[in-house]
Amino acid sequence: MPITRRKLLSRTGLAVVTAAAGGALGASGSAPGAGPSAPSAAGPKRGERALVLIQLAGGNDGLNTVVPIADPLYKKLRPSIALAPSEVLDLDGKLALHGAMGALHARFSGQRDVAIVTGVHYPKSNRSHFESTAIWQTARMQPHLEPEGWLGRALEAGPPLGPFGLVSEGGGALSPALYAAQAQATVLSSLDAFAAQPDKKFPGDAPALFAALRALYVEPAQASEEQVVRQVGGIALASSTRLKEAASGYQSMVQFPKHPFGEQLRLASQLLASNLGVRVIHCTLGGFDTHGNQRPQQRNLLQTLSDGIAALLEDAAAHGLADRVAVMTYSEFGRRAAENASGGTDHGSASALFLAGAGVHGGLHGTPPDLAHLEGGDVPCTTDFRAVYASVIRDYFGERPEKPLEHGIAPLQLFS
Amino acid sequence: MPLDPRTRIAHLLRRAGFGPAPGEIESRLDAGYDATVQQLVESGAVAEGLSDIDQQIGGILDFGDINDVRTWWVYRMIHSRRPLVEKMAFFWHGHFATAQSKVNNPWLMYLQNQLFREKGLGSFEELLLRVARDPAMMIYLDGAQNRKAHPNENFAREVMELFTFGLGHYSEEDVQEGARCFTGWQLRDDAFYFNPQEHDDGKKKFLGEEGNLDGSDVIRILARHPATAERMSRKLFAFFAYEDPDAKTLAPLLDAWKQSQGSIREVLRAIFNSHAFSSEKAYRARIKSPAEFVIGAVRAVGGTIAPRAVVGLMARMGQDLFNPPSVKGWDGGLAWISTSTLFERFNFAASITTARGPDGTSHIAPQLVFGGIAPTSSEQMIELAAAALLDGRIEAPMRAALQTYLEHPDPAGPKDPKGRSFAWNADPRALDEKARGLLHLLFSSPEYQLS
Repeated sequence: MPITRRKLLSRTGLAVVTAAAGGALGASGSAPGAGPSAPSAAGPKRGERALVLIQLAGGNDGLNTVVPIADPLYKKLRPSIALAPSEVLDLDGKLALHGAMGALHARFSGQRDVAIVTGVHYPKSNRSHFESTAIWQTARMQPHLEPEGWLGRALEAGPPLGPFGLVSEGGGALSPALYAAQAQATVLSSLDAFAAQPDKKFPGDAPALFAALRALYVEPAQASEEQVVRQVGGIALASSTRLKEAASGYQSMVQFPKHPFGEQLRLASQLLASNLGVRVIHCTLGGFDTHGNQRPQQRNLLQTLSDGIAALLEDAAAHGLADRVAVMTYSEFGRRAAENASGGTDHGSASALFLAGAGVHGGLHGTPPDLAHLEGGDVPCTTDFRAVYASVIRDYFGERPEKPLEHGIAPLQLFS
Repeated sequence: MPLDPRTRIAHLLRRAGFGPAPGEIESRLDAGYDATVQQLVESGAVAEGLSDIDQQIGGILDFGDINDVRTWWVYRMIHSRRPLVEKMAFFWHGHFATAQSKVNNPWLMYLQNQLFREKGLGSFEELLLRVARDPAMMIYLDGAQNRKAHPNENFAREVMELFTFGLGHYSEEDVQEGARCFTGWQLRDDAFYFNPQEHDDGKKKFLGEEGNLDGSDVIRILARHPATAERMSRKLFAFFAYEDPDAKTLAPLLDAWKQSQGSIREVLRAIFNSHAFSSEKAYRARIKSPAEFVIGAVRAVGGTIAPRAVVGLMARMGQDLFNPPSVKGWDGGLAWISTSTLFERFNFAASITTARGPDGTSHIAPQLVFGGIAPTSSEQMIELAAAALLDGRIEAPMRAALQTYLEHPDPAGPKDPKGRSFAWNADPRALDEKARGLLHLLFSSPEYQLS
């Protein structure tokens, strides 16, 4: 989704202040209050909790993730791709988890801090990947009119966000879920990449070179595109030093999956443990658009997802952050209840999502899919995704959910 | 206000190609703007100048390896004498986005790229039909799996939402009926094949037309729809000139489309000949995509950077050729600019201006960028570099920052009698260091990120 001109204009202004603040923090070496060094008996304060938001890009098939294993219609709708009872892990006798998600299942029944929300979506599913992703990321039915992301909007209204308040991982562009009217999110592919490099043959010239580079990025500009380039560049240069200092002491205590997504989570854990004032980190696991040959593809992805989430939460706990880090997944839509002729499934409606970690009220939430009452071949939406968002905003972050989330949609009780 | 002739030619070369090589602005200026547009648009009139090399590298590159296919295309972007042909291949790659990550067949990605090169300036209808039957596209949007009993809606939806007139002109029924029309379009041995057994011969109703329609009817209806002319003209204008043109600005494009029955060449001609294109409003109005930034910089230093070395860097800036993030292509514009992608751009600027071979000699000669002139003052060096890279249009604060940089003492470097590290006649090492640093800064500047 492109950033609109309105967005561009509204963003000018505060970002400069953010850049300046980042520079000051970097220079003094001090850290913001949100971190493991400031524990309190009453648990984390507002502004001290962080969410790792994981996008399952492509539209994850909910029925083969949280499986209605006891329902005979399940096997009938999916003669070739239905999972057998031996391939799933029981949740409540009726629903079961895909067998590749053993690590998450262990937390579900062990720590009991895994919430599974079934039948979650919005009414009248939009089957375009891009439109529906935008709807989920903005919590707006017409996302192109209001491009701010649901988390960017909600957290911008709370305690001030530093340069690492909103972090988008995975390389490439910023996740629209983190767009905010004024706060500028940071996109991070790796620590090394987040620093300007001098000519190695002339290290003595580096101070002069970087002084000039910083000077090029502070002047005001007339043209609006140029204004944004200057702002983002200013923030980048100011935050780079600070990041390097803060993250240098980190060591991961667990094994992350050997997969680019595992690398994203390892970096997320490093940022969380480094006292940088992180509030949200957006990560992406792609490949869920399983129109054909779904079984092996989805199995591998769900295993990577489940192992990754478990590793992240264990690593956070090992760094003393067990009460400050939670994970949430989302996907643009689920898939049709019936399989297609290619051993896959086409774009559908409701799916399942996961929350795990700090404060999460473990268990099954929402209404299990009723395969006897499909809507045009789809699992109907029984829980509005905005009810999940409202709970995250209100009960996890301690912020006020906005009005559209209250339009007849009561927040779920996803946190205890 | 129109641009001055030199700036206008440089602007045209950036937009209709990947930017000027050293000396190119002057030679194109001699030929004139109109003749340059003519030469760019009538691409067949000029030899590519690549045939020898194509033969040579054809034997070296492995087109079963996607990195070799990327290297091959980047090489063409840098060196082809038909820059608009490569620019349009790049445009269509973003428009008819297809990703190797799903297709998993570099040879088919190569063939699709050749299709964009051969047909990219011709009839839109012909191109759309060829794309609908293109093996890479058929794999990417599951067209190859379109069976009579289970029509696959993926291609039928995207051909309307993204490839032609866009949202708002069709219903869910049109998607379903469209998918039926495409049944039987399959692949056999990685080539298009019509399988009558799997084609749905029933009556269909698509966008108001009824009958035993097939996929080519859908393509015809969509390509000739007035809303397609409107959306494609708008998209081409935004790609080459600026976003959100008004109706008056688009009118000549729509006329050209209508009179030529959808010839892309004629729409491009109308764009480059418009006042809007050569206006201050269009100047530096677009953010350079990673490909434009990287290829433009490589061309600006004389093309002496190995193509293979830059394909991975473009990916880190957010543009992995042959792997667009979705069927929507790359969002582009301000989405290219983030803290991390700017660092990638800064560090690319550092690497191309300072990279040296094993013997310590440089891949690039700053003096080539300065037009072969050896500057005799810091002011002149800034003047020459800014003329080559930024049309000489830099503001006073930037000039001052560059001046300070050039004369800033390097504690480790040699100094002139006044204590300045930058001594024009004294030390070639300091001169070289600062000349490279200056280019590094200009490539890293906010202004250079704009096209």
